[in-house]
This record gives sequence, structure tokens and C-alpha cells, in this order.
Amino acid sequence: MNKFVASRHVQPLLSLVFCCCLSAQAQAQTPTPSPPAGSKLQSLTQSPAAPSAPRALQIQAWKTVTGTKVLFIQTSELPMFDVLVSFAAGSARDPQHPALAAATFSLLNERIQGKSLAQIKETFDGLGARWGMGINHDRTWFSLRSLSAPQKREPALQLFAQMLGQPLLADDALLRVKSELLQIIESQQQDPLTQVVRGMSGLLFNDHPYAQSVYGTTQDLATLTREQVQAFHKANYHAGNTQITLVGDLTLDQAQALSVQISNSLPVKPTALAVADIPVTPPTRTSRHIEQAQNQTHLMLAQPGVSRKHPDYVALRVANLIFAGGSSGSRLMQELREKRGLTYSVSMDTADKQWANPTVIYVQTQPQFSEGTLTLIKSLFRDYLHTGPTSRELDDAKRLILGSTALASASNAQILSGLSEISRHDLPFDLDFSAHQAQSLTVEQIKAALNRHYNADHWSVVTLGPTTTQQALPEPVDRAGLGMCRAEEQIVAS
Amino acid sequence: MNIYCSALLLLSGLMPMMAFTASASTTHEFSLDNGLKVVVREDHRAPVATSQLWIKVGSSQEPPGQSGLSHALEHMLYQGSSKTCAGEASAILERLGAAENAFTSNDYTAYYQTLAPDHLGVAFELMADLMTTAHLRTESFATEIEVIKQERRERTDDAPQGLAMERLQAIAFPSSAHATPTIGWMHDLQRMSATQLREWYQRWYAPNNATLVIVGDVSLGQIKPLVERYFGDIPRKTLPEVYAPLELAEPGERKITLSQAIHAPQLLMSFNLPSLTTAPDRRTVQALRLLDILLAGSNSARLKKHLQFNEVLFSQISSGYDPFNRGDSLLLLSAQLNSHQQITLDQAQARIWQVIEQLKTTPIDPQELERARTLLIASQVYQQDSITEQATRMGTLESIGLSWRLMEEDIETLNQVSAKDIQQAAVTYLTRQRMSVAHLLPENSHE
Repeated sequence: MNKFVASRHVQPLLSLVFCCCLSAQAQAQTPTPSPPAGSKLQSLTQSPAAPSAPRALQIQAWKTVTGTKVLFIQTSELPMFDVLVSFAAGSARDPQHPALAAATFSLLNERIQGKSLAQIKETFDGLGARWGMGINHDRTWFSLRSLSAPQKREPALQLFAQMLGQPLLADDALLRVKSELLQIIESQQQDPLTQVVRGMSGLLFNDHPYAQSVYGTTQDLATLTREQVQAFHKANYHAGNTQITLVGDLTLDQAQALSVQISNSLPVKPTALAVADIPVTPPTRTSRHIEQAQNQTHLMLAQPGVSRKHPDYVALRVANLIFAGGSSGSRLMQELREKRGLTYSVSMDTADKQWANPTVIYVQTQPQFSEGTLTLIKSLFRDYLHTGPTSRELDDAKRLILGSTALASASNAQILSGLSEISRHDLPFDLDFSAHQAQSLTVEQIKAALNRHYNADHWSVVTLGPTTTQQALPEPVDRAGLGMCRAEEQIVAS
Repeated sequence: MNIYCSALLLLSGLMPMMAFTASASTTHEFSLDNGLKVVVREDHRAPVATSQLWIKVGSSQEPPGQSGLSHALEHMLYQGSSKTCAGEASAILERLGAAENAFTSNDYTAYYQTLAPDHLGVAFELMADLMTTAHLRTESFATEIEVIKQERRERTDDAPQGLAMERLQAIAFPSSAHATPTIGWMHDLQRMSATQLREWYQRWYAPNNATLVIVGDVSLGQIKPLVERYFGDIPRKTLPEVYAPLELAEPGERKITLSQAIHAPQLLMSFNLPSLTTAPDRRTVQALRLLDILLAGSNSARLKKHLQFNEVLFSQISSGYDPFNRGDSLLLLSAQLNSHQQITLDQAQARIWQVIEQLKTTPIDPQELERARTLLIASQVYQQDSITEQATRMGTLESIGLSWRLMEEDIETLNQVSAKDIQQAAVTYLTRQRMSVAHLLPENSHE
């Protein structure tokens, strides 16, 4: 009921950053944690029990004859499996028609030969199967979770494959989908966070399709035709434009058959296929304020980062984690939350879009502190570029990253997420790859990477909230030092 | 299309928490002399374990004027104790690669750490220390209460649906403390003091008011000595008498209207229902869970099919029923009007009532019932994918005074439920006398 469950802090984004699983290598590298100076914990001074054996997970990879890339990890402990099918069919694909991708995507599960929308939903529910779908500017994806027993698995898959490959894309369904998308676009115009993101996209991407809503514009939506949708489906949902990732209680043979079934149901690859490269031009305006009556002001800062494949990617991920990770130890969490009580959470993340990779910092604070908070964040970042992380900060981050690798492959859902990231970015077949790379980084390398890519003066900033008289920020309180806590430590240590 | 809408999930707020199918997992339980109950569930898929310390205290125990105490205390436990400085407990755990956090609800407060099993001793030692020697200093509280107010502004005051749920809850429970918001009313946060927190901590934080749940790559032989070493010396306390938050069966029809920054009108309808702890029998609870799935709690549910997909009256509609409460519960329906439909919320509500009345008068088609049952059973399998979800189920059951075993015995009762039971449940429980309604209107509009 009151499962408004209030948490102490927002979960760190680490699982997004390093979707990893344990390997023998990672385990071998795990350092024995040394207690922080003066720690009073007995458990940290005792030699830990022998570390558990890493989870044996093997990535199997293949390509179907029609050109679909497939990655699979078998886990047989639970009688279930997950499949994710992803298409390079996001809303930036057709810059002239920003609503076309979302309309096509939304139509896939509306109607197939012999089954209405209601029957599709009833069939999945009746099999106990769960399915989901999502869209961004670059891609769309469809997921299915089902029991692995053949009498559940086979009909669920048949329906799933038919939905993706042979949707009817009917006129009446298009009408319904248009109405739904219109509702979503309108509701987004009222949602503060979406407005902040859209405002920032406007600054960063100018007239690039990334500046539009993923769901398109009401104007484009109004004029879309069934023929356009059918052509878009043919051009973008073909087997060669598709990636499949699979995890669960399937044999290799079953997994292969399953991938072929999905791949074969998709349209064949068109002969003439031209996907234009759409480069992003640098931002021209650097700030924007959206006036809105709110109790909190939203602050978003962004500047270009690097892509997932860039050699500095991992260094910057670690750098961002230290500066503004969601854990209580990051610099922004310390300065904004722990010392000044200005905010509940902070986040810093780099988007992995095809043509742009903005690094984005986002916080909320009270309106009268918004300017002071913005100035403080910028000044802390300037200092960070100047000094880089401390060796203690880097050491802590490496331990956190390495220690959490096992956590990231504890469930099928987590393994699927890591596997999909490997597939999407053509990463090495190792769920722990990024975590291992991070272990060899030095303070100097991180500092150099920070200064190669970021500039303290290059922030684009969007604020949303009420205009109000600004106040000086509260004086910082060193809570760790309260009650002579640190002094006691020194006495113990000496 | 079925785009995942987290806002509506938050609104319905009621993640259906379900039991498991009988599984091969081995689960052990034991109690220390001081009354700490320990549940250990072996899941050897990955070299990971989660440890969750559940304290039986939440917002439904808080006296008027002191709402939010349990949650504020949860925040303050990390601000210094005999063995840790402010923030140090989290820092130590993160250096071990742990995912750690804490959460508070109406019935409980829980602290969890997910990490490599060989570091469980550190998690235990920290939790044992935090639950007994937290400093709860006034100076530290002055900053932390500001963080909590920010949390409230972000998640309730500036979140139309969060605020609407809080207000609905306030009228849905006229005679019990379930009306109290877990985050606390802002005016109570403004007058809260560290002294109140210390008293609250002294009163409720005791081994005999707690459950420690461990799920993962562990054995009883490994866990038991560690638990005894770190928790064994904590003295038990005499606990205050607790009273389950019982609600009037039929409080009468209630309604509030809110004007909010939303683009289309929204409707919340709740019905006062029993929970697993207050229902006459478990079969009733299973009938209510199935009723929820049939109503709007699944993709093929009736309200979705008729009013969202066919008539396109609503752009979204969903329902939820949470049977895991120390006291009585609610079934909650939430819907957003299609802004291009020229109907009022009253008319939309009348359409929902027609569907409800049909459930009362016409027996459910056996195929439809089987579908709902299959969905429940399948989700019980899926829930075993996550060790933290397993631990949370068991911790919740223990914290509301039931046994973790209940989750493994569920299927049998589920299979006993007949179409007639569901019809009867609809007749008994989906009545106007049990209903509270919130109408959410876009600002500057009139109903």
C-alpha cells in the first residue's frame, strides 16, 4: 500500500556503467580490502574467507543466414528465458518524419494475421509470458520473458516473431496509435524532467533529429500514412538491421533455432539501403531557463563526451563516477548533499547515441539556491579538471567497480542487459571488460582524459523552476568530523 | 503499444508481491537468544549474497505530529555510530563492491547490502553497530533533515501522482495510521528533532524486533557463527505493545478533487480491503489478487481491453492490490483520461462501474480465470531471478507478522479459487461504501 518506499539514496548508476559479470580474471585480481585508517571494524582486519568461485558464463555468438547478429548465455537454474530483439529503427532514422519510427514501433503489436490487439495480449498473458518494448532516437527493442517449457515457449515465440516480422500495420490501428502517441507527446509537454531534457536537446543538437521528441511531432503524426509506415518497416526491421540477445534455460540448439525463427520472420534486407550519416553541429546557445512554478528547480549541465568505443571511454566513466556518482562518496554528493543538504540525489552519465555522446549532470535543489548550486558545481568541476581525482578516490572507485562485477551477473535480467550492451557496441565477449580496463587506470591518465575532452567553460545549462530571489548557499558542515570522530580515529591509530 | 510508464507504476504504487512456486531452494531459519530471527535461503547461481536487516517499525506506528520519524531515522543511522564516522558505513561497503541502501515503508524499515559472500561479516558487523550505537547527533540531523525535505519535494510535492497518492491515502484510511505518509508531512519534518529520533530508536531498534534475511551463495554453517558473533551480544528490549492498523470495513464513499500540473484529467479509485494478515482466510486473498488481475492488473484485463484499447476513453489504466500489510489494505485503480475525449471524470468513473458491476453479476469465463492464474504462477517463477526480490518477499512477510513459508505454499490456495469466489469477492469488496476517489484535474480547468 504505502509502497511509496522512501530510500536513503538513489541507487548508483554503476550497473549501467559497468554491466559486467564475474570471470576468473576478475576474481584473481580482487585485492584484499584494507581497512580505512583507524577503522574500528574487527571484520575488516580478519582475513576473509576464501573467495567464491566465479560464475561460469560463456558467451555464444553467431549470425543467422539472413544476417542477424545473435549473442547467447545459457543459465539453466530457473525454468525461464529472456530474449531481446533490437533494431536500428529509432526516431532519428528519418529526419523528415520524426514520428514515423514511433508510429511503426507502436503498430507492431497491434494486429497480426488472425489476431487482434486484444487477442495478442490474451495469448501472451495466457502463456504467462511477459513482453516489453522501447524506443529511443537510434533503436527500438522488444523483449520477451517466458517459461522455458516447450508448451509455453513455442507459442509465445511464434507470436513474438510474427509480431515483429509480419504486423498488419492496418489503417484503423494506425489511427489508434496516432491517438496514443499524441497523448504521450502532450503529456511530455507537461512533465518537468522531459521538458528539461528537451530543452537541453535543443541546445545541444539544434536542428538535428535528436532535438525532437522520440515520439515525433504532432504535425508529422497527423499526416503519416499507412504506406509510409509499411515502407519504414521494410527498410528498418529487416534481419540485417537486427540484433538478438538471449539468456536462460535453453540449449545451444534451442537458442539457435529460436534466433533463426525470429530472423526468418523479418523482412529481407532491401538491396538499396542508404542510411544517411547525420552529424551533430556544435551548440550555438549555451543556456536556457524554463519558467515553471515548482518547489524545486531542476538543473541540467551538459557537454560533449566520448562514445562507448573511444579509447578514453572507460577513463571518463570512472572520472564521472568519482565526480558525481550516485554513491555518497562522490564529490558532488559530498559537497551538495552531505555538507550542505542542498539535494537528495545527483547523477552524471554519458549518453551513447550514434552521433552524439553528451555527458550530463542533473540535480534538483530549492529555487533560492539554484544559482549558487550551479556556480558551485561548475567551480568543483573546474577544480577537478585542474587536479584530477585523488589516488584514494581512484582506488575506491576501482574497488567498487571490481567488487560489483559479480553483482551485475547475479540474475538473468542483469546478464541480458550486459550482453545487449556488448552486442550494441561490438565490445569484446567479456561481461567484465570495462571493469578490467578500469583497474589499470592511473590518476594521470584520468586527469589527461578529462582535460582532453571536457572544458570547464563549455557547459550547456538548462534550468527549470520559478524565478526567485537568490540566497547564499548554507555553510558546509563536515559531518564526518562532528563529535571528534576523526580525532578519535587518530588516537586509535597512534 | 504498451510503453512502460513508470509514473503510473508509481501511482498504482502496488507492485504485486507474490509467492513462489515450490522450489528446490533450501531455506533455513533460526533465532538467537536475544530474539533476532534469521532466515537463510541458499541460491548458488552466482557468488553473491544479499543481507537485509528488517526492523519492524514504519510510518503506521508514528504518532500524529511525528510523521516521517522512521524514515528520518533510517537516514540518520548512517551519520555516525560507535564504530563509524558519518558516511563511513557506506564508504566501507562500497569499497567492497557492495550495492547498499535502505528503505522505509508503513510497516518496516530495512537495510540491505548485496556483496560477495566472503564479506558478509563486514555487513553484519556494520548493521549490528548501526542498530545499537547510532549517535543521532543534533548537528548532523540539521543537515540531513534538509536532504529529507528535498526528497519530499522531489518525489511528492513536485510529483503530481505522488502527491495525489498521499492525499488519497489520507482519506482512504479514516480510522488507522495507514493514512500517514512514510516520507512525513512537511510540517512534521519542519518540527522534527534529533531528540525525537533518539527516543524512536531506543523504543524500536532491538534484536527481538528485527529479522535478518540472507539470500545467496551461502550455507547455514557459514552464516550462523557470523550472525552469533556480531548480533549475539545485543540485549533484547521490552517492546511497546503494537496494534495492527485495522480499518473500518465500510467507511463510506469519500472523494477529493485536486488541481494539478498535468495535461489530462486522472482518476484514482481505491477500495478498502483486507490483507493477508486481516482477511478471513487465504483463499479470499487469492481471490482478490485474481480479481485485481482481471480488472486492470494485466495487459489483457477487462478495463484495459474495453476502456483503453477499444473505446480509447483512457490513455492508461491500471490496478494493484498489495496483500502484504500488517493491517488492512487497498485495491487501487488509476486511470488517465484521453484528453481528446469529451467526457468528464464522473462519466469515466461511471463506465468503470459498469465493468465492475458486470464482474459481480456474470460469472468469469473459465479461460479468463485460467489466464489470470497462469500469470500469477509464472510471475512467481520470474521473481526467483533476483536474490534481492526473494529476500524482500521473505523480509516483508516476517515483518508483518507472518512466516516466510507462506510464499511457498501459495499455489495450492490459488488453484482452489473458483469463478464464484471471484464474483463473491467483487460483490463484497468493490462497493461504494469502501471506495475513496481522487479526481486530478489540470490546473485552470473545471470539472
